[in-house]
Amino acid sequence: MKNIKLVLLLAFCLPAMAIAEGVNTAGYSEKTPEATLKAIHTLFSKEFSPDIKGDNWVKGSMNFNKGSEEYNKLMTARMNDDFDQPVGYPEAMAAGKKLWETPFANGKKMADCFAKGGKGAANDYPRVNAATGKVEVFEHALNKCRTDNGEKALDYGDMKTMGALSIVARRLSDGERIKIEVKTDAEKAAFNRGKEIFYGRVGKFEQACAHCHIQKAGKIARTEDLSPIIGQAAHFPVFRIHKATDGVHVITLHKRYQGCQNSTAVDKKLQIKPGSDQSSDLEYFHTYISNGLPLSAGVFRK
Amino acid sequence: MKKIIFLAILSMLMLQGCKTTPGSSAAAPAADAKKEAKPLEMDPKKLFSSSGKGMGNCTACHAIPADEKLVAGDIGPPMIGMKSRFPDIEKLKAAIADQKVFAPDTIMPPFGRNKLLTPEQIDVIAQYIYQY
Ligand code: HEC
Repeated sequence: MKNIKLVLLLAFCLPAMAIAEGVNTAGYSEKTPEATLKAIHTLFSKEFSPDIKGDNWVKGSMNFNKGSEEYNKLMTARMNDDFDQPVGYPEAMAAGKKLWETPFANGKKMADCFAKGGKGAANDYPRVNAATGKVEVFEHALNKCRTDNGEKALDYGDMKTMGALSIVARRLSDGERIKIEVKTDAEKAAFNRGKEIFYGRVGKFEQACAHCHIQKAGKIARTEDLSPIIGQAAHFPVFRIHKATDGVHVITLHKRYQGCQNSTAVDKKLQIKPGSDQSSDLEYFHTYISNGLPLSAGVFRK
Repeated sequence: MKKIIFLAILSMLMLQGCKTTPGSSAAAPAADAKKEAKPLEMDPKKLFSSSGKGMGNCTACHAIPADEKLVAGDIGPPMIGMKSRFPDIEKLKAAIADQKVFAPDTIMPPFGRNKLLTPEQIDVIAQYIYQY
């Protein structure tokens, strides 16, 4: 009798559970982080011709599209040209610099919270807090610095404050190579939580990140070349084209997660939000997959 | 030079537009139609190529090589030789309704099972692509 109840319960729960069901594409069934990355790379080296080499992974979809690479060069040149900067670029840089440099009410500055004035600090994240088991991303550390010094925390979803600050602070780690080590049980658990999100189907489309950025990477969705997961986490936040102003705006990695959830029609209620535990778990897994690649914050990506 | 920049930006903006529209939401069209009293789209070409609520947005992934305006993605197979690939049109409709039944790891959204489209809309789309 009890068993029947259990079966009934399961039958009712299954449709709901189907949402979290994983997509069995490269890396899905591998048990360790090393094997997961290897399986993904093996698939890509079979599918991409020629295989993407070395640091070129960071170029993402530009590897498949000369036109978008040219466009990227053009926008990068404009961002660096004081007389032709796209609207939004100088504003964001100024806002970020102000947040980074202006002393708090207690006289301390952001740079005082980090060793070497923040140089290389972003590459200490994401990391797993051994006591809590939670993933801390660099933006959490930026906010902790503020609150430890009596200032209000910034909203992780606010690109004009947290996004801008993140670019300025992360640029101090440009060129450093990602070096995530997944060793302790807490780290393994965090990696697996993030992996589950990446391979998990969500929303009414029942699509997973892994569909577009592993299984179909290199293919084209509505004229957009799908970037491979390897290299994605190395170059955030980005400046993206902003339709409303005809300029650019800042998008952090967590905000990008939201963007992809929006464009795959994931219900707002089901979405993982900037700064949340889930987005941080995802960032941990995501960043591991870019191990060895150089960081570059504030680059242009359409 | 300025002109090239302008054109480049314009084309980027247009791409952006395409990409962000499907994001609106994926609520069941039947329920939405009631709320917004919007009639269901029944034009096959619109259903195939438009994105957003109550649309198929098939173009995002499937090209119709016979119509150059409908070549924008290659995630799924192009619409060619449909009759020989699906001698029984009911199988084609079933694939649109829930391709996961046939390919468990497919990226194809279950348009029927999740009520993204009505059975009538799926019927119209199937008839439309069956000509290619
Ligand atoms: C239906 C396909 C699809 C799904 C599902 C999807 N994305 Fe994307 N994603 C895109 C497209 C299209 C782009 C823009 C082109 C590109 O760079 O890949 C993009 C871009 C990105 C980028 C920026 C890449 C760069 O180099 O700037 C990241 C990061 C990303 N997606 C992560 C995710 C994550 C994480 C998920 C799951 C929550 C996800 N995506 C789900 C289609 C998808």
